[in-house]
Amino acid sequence: MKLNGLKVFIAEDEAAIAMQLMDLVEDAQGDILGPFTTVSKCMTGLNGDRPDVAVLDVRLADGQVFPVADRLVEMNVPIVFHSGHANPGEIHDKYPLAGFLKKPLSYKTLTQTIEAAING
Amino acid sequence: MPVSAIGTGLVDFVRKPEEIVATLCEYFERRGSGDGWDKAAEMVADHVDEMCSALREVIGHDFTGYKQSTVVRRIERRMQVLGTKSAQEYLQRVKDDEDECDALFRDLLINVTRFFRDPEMFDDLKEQVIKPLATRTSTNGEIRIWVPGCSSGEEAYSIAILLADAFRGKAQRPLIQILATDIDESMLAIAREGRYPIAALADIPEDLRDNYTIGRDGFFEISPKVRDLVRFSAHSLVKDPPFSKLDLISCRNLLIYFGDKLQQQVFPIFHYALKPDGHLFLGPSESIGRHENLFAVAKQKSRIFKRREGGPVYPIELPFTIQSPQKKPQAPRRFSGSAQTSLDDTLGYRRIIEHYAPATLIIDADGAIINSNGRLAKYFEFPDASKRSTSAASLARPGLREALPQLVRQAAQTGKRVVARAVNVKAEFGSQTVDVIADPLADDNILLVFKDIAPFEAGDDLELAEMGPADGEVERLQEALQLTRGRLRGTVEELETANEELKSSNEEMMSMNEELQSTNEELTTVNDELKSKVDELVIANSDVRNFFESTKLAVVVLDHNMMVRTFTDAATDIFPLVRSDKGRALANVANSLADDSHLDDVRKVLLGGVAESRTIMSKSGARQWALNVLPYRLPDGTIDGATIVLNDITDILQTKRDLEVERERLKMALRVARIGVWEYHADTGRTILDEGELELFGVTRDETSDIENLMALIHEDDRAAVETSLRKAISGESDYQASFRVNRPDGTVRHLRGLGRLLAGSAQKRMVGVSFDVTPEAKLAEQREYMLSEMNHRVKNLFAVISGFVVGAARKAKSPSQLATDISERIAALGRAHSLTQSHTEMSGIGLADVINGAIEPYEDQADISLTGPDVTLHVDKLTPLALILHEWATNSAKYGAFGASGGDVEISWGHSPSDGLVLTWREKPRLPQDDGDIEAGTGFGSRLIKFSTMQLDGSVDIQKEDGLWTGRLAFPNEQAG
Repeated sequence: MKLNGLKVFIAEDEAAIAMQLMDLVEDAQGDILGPFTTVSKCMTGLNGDRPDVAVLDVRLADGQVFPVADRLVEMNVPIVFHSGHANPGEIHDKYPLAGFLKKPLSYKTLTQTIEAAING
Repeated sequence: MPVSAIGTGLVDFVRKPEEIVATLCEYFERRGSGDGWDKAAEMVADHVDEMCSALREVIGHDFTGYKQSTVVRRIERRMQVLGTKSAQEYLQRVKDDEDECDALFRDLLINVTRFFRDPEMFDDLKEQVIKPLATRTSTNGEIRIWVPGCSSGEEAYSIAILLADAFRGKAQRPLIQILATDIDESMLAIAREGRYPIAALADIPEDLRDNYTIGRDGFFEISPKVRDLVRFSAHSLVKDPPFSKLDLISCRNLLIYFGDKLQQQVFPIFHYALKPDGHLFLGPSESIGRHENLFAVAKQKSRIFKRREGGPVYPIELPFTIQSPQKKPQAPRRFSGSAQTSLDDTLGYRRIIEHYAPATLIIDADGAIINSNGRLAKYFEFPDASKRSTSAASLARPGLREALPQLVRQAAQTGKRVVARAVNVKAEFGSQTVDVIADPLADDNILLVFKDIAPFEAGDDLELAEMGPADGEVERLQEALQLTRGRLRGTVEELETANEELKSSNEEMMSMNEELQSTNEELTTVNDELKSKVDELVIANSDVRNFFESTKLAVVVLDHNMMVRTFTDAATDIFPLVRSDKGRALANVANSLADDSHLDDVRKVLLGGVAESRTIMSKSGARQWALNVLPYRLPDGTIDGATIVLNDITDILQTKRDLEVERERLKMALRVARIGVWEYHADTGRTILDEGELELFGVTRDETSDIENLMALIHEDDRAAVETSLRKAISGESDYQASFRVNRPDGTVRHLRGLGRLLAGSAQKRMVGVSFDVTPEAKLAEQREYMLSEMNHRVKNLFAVISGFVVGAARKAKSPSQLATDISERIAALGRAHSLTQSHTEMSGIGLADVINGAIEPYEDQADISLTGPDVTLHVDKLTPLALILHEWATNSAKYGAFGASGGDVEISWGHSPSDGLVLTWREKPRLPQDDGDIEAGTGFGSRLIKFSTMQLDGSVDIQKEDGLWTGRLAFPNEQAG
């Protein structure tokens, strides 16, 4: 699937994973905003271009990503959570519209989930 | 009632109801056939004597003197009862059958008696005799009364009651003795008992009943004060010597059963027995008959007679001579049995004798006058009555005196009538010529008849009767005879006196006997009481001895002088006492106590009477006793000694001490283990917490007396589970088990675990349990949870990383084998780096030096490597990026630098910079120029990886190349972990 120049906001502190994400998004012809390694960097990053979709690692270097998620919800940006946590339920309760990606990634699941999120 | 009737002995037939009619028919059939019975009656009369003698032989009592008619009647009755028609047959039966003899005897004795029989007569007795007697007898004196034929005692008790009543209210009274006698032992027994059916109470005047009788259930008793006045004894009026010096003889309805002869004998006996002013009280059918000379009438209609003055008229026929059975009874046999027809006869005869017949005199074989009739003054001289001699000859006037003896002798010898004719009797004023006839009588007596044959001749003044010279021999003999007669009289009188004395003694003996019997009875009673007392004592003694022997307590009993009275075996362990120490002062007994303070206790107790109690030790100190000193009280409450009780409590004390130690140990264990103990009363909600428990909850006692307060301290999330478990435990389903958090006042949270159980058998629901602090464990568990989660996360992350650079490396890989090598080496580097995390927790961090070593480990032998820098710990999050960076540098070095085939030097150093944080410098030479532009440009995967990893570290990288020296500088912020 193609992301067709969609701006994808990436919050991820692990270098290798960020790289992989970025590669996958590029392969899908999406635009990358980030990667932002900390919540504060994310918040700063959101002041820039409005993303079309956000892929958020739940655990960032300086804490959990939820303040960023809340902000994105305010901005009406679809969110895909990306986590090694085995607790999608809790996150789903809080962010019922958000998608959820488990680590490790695969190309297929990433694109599908992002698409789903975008399409609501 | 039937029983009392049978008891009187007056019942002939005792039959069951169904037999009564048959018995009655039999009886009347027998009675009805008149002929047979008349003949039988005649025959009985013939055989009376024989029957009486049979009776006398068997029973010992002579009924020949009793009224014939009565005796016959009684025998007839017995015969009718038995159905014996023939007198012979009955006689035989009486001789053979002792029981029948007894029955006949009892029948003959029948003497129905009642209290106050003929009440008006008793009233008179009271007024005429009893009251005056009571008044005139001084308190030192004696009142003696005899009741012969007393039977079952009613008569005697009646008189006793009257007497007692006469003295009622008086403080003192003279000695009263009522001697009641009878020959019937069984009746005497009844009399002695003094018990009569309630029906008999009606006979006793109302006003006397309360004071002198005691009412019981169905019967009444004569009160003791009356009973004591009467002495019952067996005595035969007929056989035994009488009592004497009596104030009153009450002989009622006895003499009616006696024949004339017996009655003749009895009255003189009564006369002898009474005191000069004594009275005789007879039954309504009785009289004194011919004995008016002995008794004067006091009240005829009440049959009360008074003794006349004078000694006995003639010698008393000593009553113990047994009458010869051959003697025919004097009175003619009469079947009809009426008594008084002779009275008319004798009046007529008396008149004839006194007025018309010649003067007569009856003398006995000794010449003593028995009876006289008519005027004998002419022939005999009678001096004043009291000095009267009874010899006819001595009383005869001169003339007669001489003639009389021979005449009498001749008559006695020949047994024929002899007449002395023309005896000239010289009287006081003349002489009288008489014919004297001596007529011998059937009973050896002689009847002298004096017939005047000439008129009285007035004589000269004869003062002196001249004794003719006549027969000197005769005179001498006469004198001798007189003398002899006189001596005989004297002897007889002496005999009489002796007899009287004997009678008195006898009577006294009998009284004594009666008294002894009473005393004996009392003694028997006392003896019985004593016996039972002794039995009780023996048992009590035995109990005490057994108790003493069985007790393990050391007991020493002291008297009020602190002498040993008694002690138990156990006491000898402390006081070495032996039996002979009884009576010894305890103070003198050696003992194994530490001191003599126990003696002080005893003294205190003896004085104060309050028990003392304390602990004392043995001399050696090895043993201890509980000492109790108690006062020894007599039944009246006075203190007569002291009891020392010693109880060895050494073991108990030791156990107590051991227990204390154990308790302390337990307390300490609880304290160390920080275990709290609690109690929960489910019914009231009350909780009791010990110090440990309070400490766990971090509260004071006051705040936690109720379960609600306690629950409030528990973390709200955990309350439900705790409550559930409590409820289950209270209902008995299971024991209580819960883990919960407590919010302590200081803000900390403590994890506690509680265990508890409902107490078995308690009526109120009480639970006891413990709580202990499991905070460390809980924390540990939390940590573990967290760590596991972390590990999970990290592993997933690592997979993601690896997946990441598989994909990334694949883009730029030149060949699959190179790709594989790249990937596998990176994975290995990651592996090495992450193996460092196994031995560290999140907290402590990882040593930088270790990370570096891990990265360069594959190339250690390739170059000279030096590492310089302080101890730096890294947060684990930094491990992956740092490891990846170092791996790239090492790999590049292996490709182009010192780690390559030609070797070289690598200098790795690090340190802190205030502005940049941790700075790591990699200096290496030689470093050949790389012809791989990717590295420089940073577009190769490795470069990208370094770039992004540096970003992940929030740091910066600077590469300098200069003359084959390659310098890499990595700086990133690092707060020291831990």
